[in-house]
Amino acid sequence: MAFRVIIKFFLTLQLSALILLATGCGLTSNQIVKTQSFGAATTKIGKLGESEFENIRIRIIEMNTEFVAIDKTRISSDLNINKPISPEATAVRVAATKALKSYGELLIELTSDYKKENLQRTANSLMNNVNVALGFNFTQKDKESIKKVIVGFGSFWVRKKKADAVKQIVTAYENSVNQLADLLIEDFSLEGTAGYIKMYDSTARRLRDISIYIINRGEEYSAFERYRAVEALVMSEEAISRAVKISKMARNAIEGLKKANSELVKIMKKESYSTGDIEVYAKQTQELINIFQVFTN
Amino acid sequence: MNELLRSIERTIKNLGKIRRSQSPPSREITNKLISLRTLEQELISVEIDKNTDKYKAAITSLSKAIKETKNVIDKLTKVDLAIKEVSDAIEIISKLKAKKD
Repeated sequence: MAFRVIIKFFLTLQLSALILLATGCGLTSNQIVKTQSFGAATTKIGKLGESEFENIRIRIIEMNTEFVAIDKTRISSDLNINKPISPEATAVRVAATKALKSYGELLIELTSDYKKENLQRTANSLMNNVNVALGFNFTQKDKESIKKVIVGFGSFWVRKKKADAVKQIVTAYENSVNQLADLLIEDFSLEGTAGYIKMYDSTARRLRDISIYIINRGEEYSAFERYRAVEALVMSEEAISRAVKISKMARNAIEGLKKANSELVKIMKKESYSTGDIEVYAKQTQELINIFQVFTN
Repeated sequence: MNELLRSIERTIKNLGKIRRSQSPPSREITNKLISLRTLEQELISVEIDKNTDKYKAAITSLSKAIKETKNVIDKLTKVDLAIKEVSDAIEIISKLKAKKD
C-alpha cells in the first residue's frame, strides 16, 4: 500500500514537472527587483500616512484651541475645534495606508527566496521511512541524490506558483493602488486640491491672521495677551513651513509609488522565464523521471 | 478643488495685500480674512468627507489583494505537506511492521 502511495506521489511529481516545463517557471530577477521596489514604496507611504494623518489632526486641534483662546471676540460655539478633520476620517486614511503597506510587504514575502529547510527536513524523513518500511536499501549516495531532487523540485514548484500569483495579483490591483495614490495626492498637495494638508495650512494661516492683528494693535492688548499672540504666530509660521515640507515629501513618495506600480505591472506583463530557467528545469524533470523509473523497477 | 474654493483663495490673497498695507491692521479686514478662512475650511472639510468614502472603497479593494496574496503564501506550504503526508504514511507502516516482527 505504501509503495502505491510513493508511486502515486512520484507520478504526480513527474506530471507536474512536465506541466511546469511547458508553462515556464519563476520570476525573472528584474521582476523580483521591481516587486521589491514597489514594496519599498508602499512601506514609505505607509509610514508617512500612519504618522502624518494623525499628526496633522492633532496640530489642527492645537491651533484651533489657540485661535479661540487669543481672540476675545470668539465665543463657545467657536470651540468646535475637532470639526474640520474628524477622528473617523483620519482613522480611515490611516487604515488605507496601512493596507497599502501590508500589500507591499506580502508581495515582497511572495517574491523572497523560498526557505528550503522544511523541504529538506521532510525529504529526509521520507527517505528514512522508505528505507525502514519498505526494505529498500538505498546507499547513502542514492538517498542524498533523491533528496536533492525532491527538494529541488519542490523549490521549482513553489517558484512557479509564486510567479503566477504575483503576476495575477499586481495586474488585477494596479488600478486600486493608483486610485489610492491619487487620493493621497489630494490629501497631501497644497496646490489645487482640498485635503488634509490644505486644511492644516489654512488653519495655520487663520491663526497667523489673528496673531498679527493682536501683535500690531499696541496698547489695546495687555502684555500677556501680546505674549500669547507672539507664541501663536510662531506656532502658525512653523506649521505653514511644515506643511510645505510634508507636502513635498509626500508628493515624492506618492509619485514614487505610482511609478513603481506602473513599472511593476509593465514588467510582469512583458518578461517571461529565461532560457537558463528552462534548462535547469529540463534537468530537474529528467532526474525525476529517472527516480520514478528506479521505483517502478 | 472646486471653483468656489479657488475664488475664496483669490479673495484671501487680495485681502492679505490690503492688510499688509495697513498699519495697524483693521479689525474689519482681519475679520473678513478669518471668515473667509473659516469658510474655506468648511469647504475643504466637505471634500475630505467625500474622499473618506473613496478611501473606504480603496481599503476594500486592497483587503482583497491582501487576502489573495496571503492565500497563495499559505498554499505554498502544501509542497512540504505533500511530502510529509507520504512520509507519515510510511512511518505508520514501518511501526506496524516492527510490531508484527
